[in-house]
Amino acid sequence: MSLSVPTVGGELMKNLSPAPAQRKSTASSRLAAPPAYASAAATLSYDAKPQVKSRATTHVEQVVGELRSWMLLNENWDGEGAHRPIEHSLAEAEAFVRLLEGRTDRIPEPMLLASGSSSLYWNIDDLYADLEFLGNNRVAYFIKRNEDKHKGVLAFDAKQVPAVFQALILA
Amino acid sequence: MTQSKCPPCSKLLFWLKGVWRNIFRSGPDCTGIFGRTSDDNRVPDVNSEAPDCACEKCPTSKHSPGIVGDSEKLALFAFSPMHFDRKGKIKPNIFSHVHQKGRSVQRSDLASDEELCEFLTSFLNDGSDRAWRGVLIGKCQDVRALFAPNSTSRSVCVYDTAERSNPSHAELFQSQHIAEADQPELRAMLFSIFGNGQPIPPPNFRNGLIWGKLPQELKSR
Repeated sequence: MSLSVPTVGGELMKNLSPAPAQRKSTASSRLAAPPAYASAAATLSYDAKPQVKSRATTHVEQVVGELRSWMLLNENWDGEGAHRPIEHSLAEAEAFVRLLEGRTDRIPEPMLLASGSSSLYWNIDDLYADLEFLGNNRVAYFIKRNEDKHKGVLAFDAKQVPAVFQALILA
Repeated sequence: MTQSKCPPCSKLLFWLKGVWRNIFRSGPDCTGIFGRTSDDNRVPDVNSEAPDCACEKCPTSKHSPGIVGDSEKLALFAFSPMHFDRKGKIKPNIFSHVHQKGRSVQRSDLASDEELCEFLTSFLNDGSDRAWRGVLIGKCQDVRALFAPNSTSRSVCVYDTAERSNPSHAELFQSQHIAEADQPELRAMLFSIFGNGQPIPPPNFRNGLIWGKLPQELKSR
């Protein structure tokens, strides 16, 4: 009998809630088997090893892992008096980057700012973009695409990529 | 006032100017302003009491070797893990202190090798996960030439904020003309001025003189 471990992403990851106090490592491509599989595994013979499908961590998952690891940081995380990371801002950044999974291979780098806000940053080829998640469902942004510049503040509901960013970043 | 190569002369001149200012009450009391700002809101506090970079014209500290001249080069030291991405490139968050507390820089033309070595050693010893990865250099005149959007008002002030053990210390403060929506762009402009994130590696900075003076344990991180 072979077992397959649920892969990371999709519904399973959506149901995971951040628990930074208990978390010991950043996102990993290997998950503990859910209870249903655990009970089935208990009835297997010693020689029946489960077939675990493994794969490399995606770029989005790496970014999510890094954002979640920042929840454990305290004041002065940079040695220069930076503020403690703002949980709502980190959650907004995570929600945004998850929306990029499968839509683009231009995955941003996460940044933590001295104010405690988090940001997503692109500096690839013809694209420079800095999206700062303010922690109140708003995003302050600056985007330079080729020689065109765009900036402002807009609402972000964590459910879809705002149209401005679809046009300027994902296109 | 131009930068002085005679520290005792600078101190005497600074004292005389303080006496002159107190007698004739000309200009803001920048030493007093910087001395009483709250740690968390230094930039807004200074902008409130001395708007439009007024304190660029006078030292803010009794340890000052003189105000920062336009022709000076400013050195921004970059450390991992805070300032680098997974590919080893510097990120613009290195400038995010310019909005609230002030972005510390060193006056590259003034700082001695010993002062820089002491600064680096002290900073690195405060965090076992910190490593010195490079130096970004920007011209003071380029920073002062940044203007707020659709305005002739300046975006960034460069202040002489000398410290007793670090007399070449200076800081970048965003001016009162920068709104929340302008901050990502301001980081981008500073990023561009300071070499687009391309640092001078430590062994190449000042021909490796600073790197060579660091304790081996700090170099091997």
